[in-house]
Amino acid sequence: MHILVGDNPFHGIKHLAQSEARFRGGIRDVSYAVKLVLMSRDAGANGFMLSVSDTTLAILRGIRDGVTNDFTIAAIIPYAYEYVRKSTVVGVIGLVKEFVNNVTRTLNIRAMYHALRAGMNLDLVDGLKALVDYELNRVKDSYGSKPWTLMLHELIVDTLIPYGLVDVIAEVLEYIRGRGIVPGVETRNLPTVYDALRNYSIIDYVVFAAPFNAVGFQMSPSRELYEEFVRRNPGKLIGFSVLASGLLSPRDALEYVARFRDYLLGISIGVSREGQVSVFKLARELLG
Amino acid sequence: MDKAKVAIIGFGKMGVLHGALVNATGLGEVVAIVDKDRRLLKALNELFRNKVRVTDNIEELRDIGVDVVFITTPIPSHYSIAMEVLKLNAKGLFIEKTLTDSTDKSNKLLNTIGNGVIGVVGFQKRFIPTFRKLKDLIQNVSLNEIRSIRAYAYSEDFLGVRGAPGLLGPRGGVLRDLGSHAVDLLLWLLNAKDASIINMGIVRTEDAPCGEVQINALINGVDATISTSWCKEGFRVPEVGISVITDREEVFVNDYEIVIRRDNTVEKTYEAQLEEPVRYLLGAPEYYREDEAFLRSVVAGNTALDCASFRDGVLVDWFIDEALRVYNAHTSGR
Repeated sequence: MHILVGDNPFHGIKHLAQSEARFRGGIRDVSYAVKLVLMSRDAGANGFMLSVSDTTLAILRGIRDGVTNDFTIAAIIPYAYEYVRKSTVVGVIGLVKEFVNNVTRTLNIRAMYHALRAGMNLDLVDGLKALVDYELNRVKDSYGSKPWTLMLHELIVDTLIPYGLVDVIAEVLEYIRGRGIVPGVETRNLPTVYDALRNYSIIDYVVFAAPFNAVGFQMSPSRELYEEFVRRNPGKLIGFSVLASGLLSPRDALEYVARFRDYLLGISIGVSREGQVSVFKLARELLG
Repeated sequence: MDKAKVAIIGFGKMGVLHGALVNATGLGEVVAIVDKDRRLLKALNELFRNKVRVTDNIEELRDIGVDVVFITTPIPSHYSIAMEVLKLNAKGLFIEKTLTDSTDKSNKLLNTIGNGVIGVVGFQKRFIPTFRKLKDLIQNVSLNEIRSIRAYAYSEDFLGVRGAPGLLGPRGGVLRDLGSHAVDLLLWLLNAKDASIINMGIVRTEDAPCGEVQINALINGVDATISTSWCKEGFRVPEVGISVITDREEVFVNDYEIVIRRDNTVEKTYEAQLEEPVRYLLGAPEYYREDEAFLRSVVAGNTALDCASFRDGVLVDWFIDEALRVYNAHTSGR
């Protein structure tokens, strides 16, 4: 069972009440975040799930010498918040231009090739392939090795699916697999997204990350359909928001998750204080 | 009509979001996208491979027979585009907030829209369960008991951005772009048909370095203050908060929680505790709920009671224009 440290507290995110994250100020000190990840590892966590950003890349640099090869890195791309914020400021076309400029500065030939094609034609598939290469390169530079899985962020997946653009997602997932990495999908609409992808051959290799908790928090369209998915597709889902962003006590949350321990691929839990890392010990006890 | 044929005009961030949600509801299908950017049109044509009509010409929507149009372009273009769309005989028109960039234009739009057309303005915050709960609470309180209301609409969208637009400048200014959410919620909560602006000013503080617009007003006789800024640190996503202070208690509500302080007790309820999952979650649940309510009304031919109507949109634009008039009169020394 993958029991991963989540990165939301490191980005100052608390889905339950952003005002509480604001009050706590998030975790601005990267060395403290590194300490939390390593303490979580000592308590039972065996990996780190992160959206690729300057903050999480700095954390990866901080932990690389303190963890062993079997410490799992699950990377989600892109860090959507930054991209959405930039698109508000410079517009979608401006965002594409800025991305192409960033990629060309990396001198990563593969990423540059796709980015330039994307820039010239505004081709979505090329843009996403450039994103894969660009972010993969950043993770490798920071951590020293590839992540175990590279997952497409919900903003991409959950937007493209209703437009029927499943081919685009499948092609990019194939591309990730071609880079020797487990392709992944992060979504808040797991049953719908899985149904859309199920007839593509890549589905056999894809892992999913989605909310999974006792109260159905952010599980659209319903908790029951997520439970059904997990039972029918063992070893496919890494559940996050298992504590429902703090709505549930760790024991209540993990006892619910433990009912699915034979079906889940893993879980991810975010911690923002040293006193919270014991949740990983409890998770290990209940989930194995 | 089982499913509405929908056109999206303006395929930026909000157009993409609404289009996806339209399809996800099962009540509508995006059949056309209109945008003026030639490169984007070419890319979309290749992406959708004729499954969706992609054009820069609104008139083409007539050939397709669209039932519903979403206008998600920058605010200053809403009026001219909407007037063109109203000639198409569509049954529903959704305009992302604000309705237009002036009361005059919004009034003209209101007077032009036919009785058979459902017109809605995208004030999705009304669909957040915390604010709906606040509306229930306020309906059980006499307005005389409310001592004051303080509201904010903050984001950090332009925090640290070089060359950020002026607070009252392009994109409709922060008042239209962001503050309008707080204005709409206050007018909706108080069932207001009118208001009077007492003062408006811009304050600069360390936590909002690009400035914060503050409006003092009387809404249905209630003393109300609205503050808005788009460079307020910690507001990762745009957020509205409202404090209602009565003789008995203080009720604070924002997008995420309700906090009631009464007799030294604090009672907190999270939005997540009030919410039922939506069929498809993208962005935030309120976007889905708003689009679903609107499309359900169009398909059934009923008025979209839960959504902000064009009449509501006119009132918001009037409030903002009046605040700007008071501000300009004050700063010009008159």
